[in-house]
Amino acid sequence: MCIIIFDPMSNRIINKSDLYRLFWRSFCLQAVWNFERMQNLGFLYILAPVLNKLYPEKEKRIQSYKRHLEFFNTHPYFANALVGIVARLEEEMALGKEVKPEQISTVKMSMGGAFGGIGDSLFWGAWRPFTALLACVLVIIYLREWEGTWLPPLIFLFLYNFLHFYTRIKGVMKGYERKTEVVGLLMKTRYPRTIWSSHLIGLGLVLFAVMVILLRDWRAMERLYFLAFFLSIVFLNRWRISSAKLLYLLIGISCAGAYIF
Amino acid sequence: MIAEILSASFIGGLLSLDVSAWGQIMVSRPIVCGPLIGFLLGDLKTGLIIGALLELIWINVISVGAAIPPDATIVAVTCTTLIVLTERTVQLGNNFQGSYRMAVLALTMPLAEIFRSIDVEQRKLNAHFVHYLDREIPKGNLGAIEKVNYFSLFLFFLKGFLFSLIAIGAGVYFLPKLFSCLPYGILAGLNFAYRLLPALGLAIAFNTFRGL
Repeated sequence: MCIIIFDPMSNRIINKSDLYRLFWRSFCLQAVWNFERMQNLGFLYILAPVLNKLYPEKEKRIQSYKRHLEFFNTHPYFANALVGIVARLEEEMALGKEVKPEQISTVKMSMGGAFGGIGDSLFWGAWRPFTALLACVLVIIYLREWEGTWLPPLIFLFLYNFLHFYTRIKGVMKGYERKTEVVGLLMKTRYPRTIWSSHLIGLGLVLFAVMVILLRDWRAMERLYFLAFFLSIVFLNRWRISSAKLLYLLIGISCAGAYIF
Repeated sequence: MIAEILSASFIGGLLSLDVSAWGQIMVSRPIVCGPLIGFLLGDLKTGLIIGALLELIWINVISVGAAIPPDATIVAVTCTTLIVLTERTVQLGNNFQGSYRMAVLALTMPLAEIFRSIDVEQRKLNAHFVHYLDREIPKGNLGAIEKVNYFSLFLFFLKGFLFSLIAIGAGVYFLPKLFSCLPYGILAGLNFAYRLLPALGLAIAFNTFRGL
């Protein structure tokens, strides 16, 4: 109840520039990534200026630092939403409201797992492969016209980092404003749609690039080999062979072919 | 030559920070660091081609949870540097332009796994920093957290820098000699494999989007 009565605009210690500071420090999240507690030190490093501001007394400050030495792991971009939430909870605790330290730990553990799942499938599984593929297809199509250009890597960086920086900035701001409601907000955004639409467009882009290569001025046999190799790798997918092994397989087959023919 | 090797490995060390330690703004992907290294050494187009090929091959590499994937960045940096620096010293006929690139690509590929195992060791050792802070913070030494962070970042940089320096140095010295021993049949095979390489990359990309 007290949260509703509490006027959100009064009684704040953390201001907007502190939140921007959190954002800038958030790039260091995995600087001391370790197998024991993963991102814990990075998380503490990000929060340190806010904790210093919230707890002027040394004893309380040490207590707050000790709390954040615990295990923490999530997706590095969505971690910012948790940074915002934890900053808000710490602030409420410093103002003497009913927030227990265990509550902060629970939020970090449970939401860390949820954000990790969303982030992995969105950024690592869909958005990065899609934008990278777009740049690679541009290189394949226009290679003969261009003597060397910055366009493909720049397109990749701009497209990818648009969503990346948006997630980081909004994460801190919305996390701080809305606390644990951000999970519900996240489901209302375009993120889930981004995942499946980038898969679909990605498949189309791959087929388009294959068409472009097949229509080049190659000999008919070369086109046949190209298509046969493409299709056989697509069907080999079931055995989950690593990329490096597939590369050696390609070299082995071509060398054997060169000796036979 | 030495200045070029040093500057390429310096950039390689900085880029390898972006893989996980700092930022992850994806300048560490082969499609970006290939052209970057190529531009630095004066051959943007080669860098772009190698970057795009490697990007397609490693496009399905994702780090989920605590798993550490093979490192595509170090392969892209060493491979591009070696190709740009040594391609002209190798005498090739017109029919075998791709053979040398393919040979370099095949020989730098295992570096991803080697670098991954070094990375795993470093992350195990990072636990010592956690124990150090477990002792220091109750004592009131709160500034230690920042020092540990910057020091660890420096170690990540040093690892990437030294690793690419050794790999590039060894490659520049040995690769042209090794390549000149190859028989005609292997050269033809490598050349053909280089022409088919986009098929491999596109098939891997296709499987990535289909499987998820």
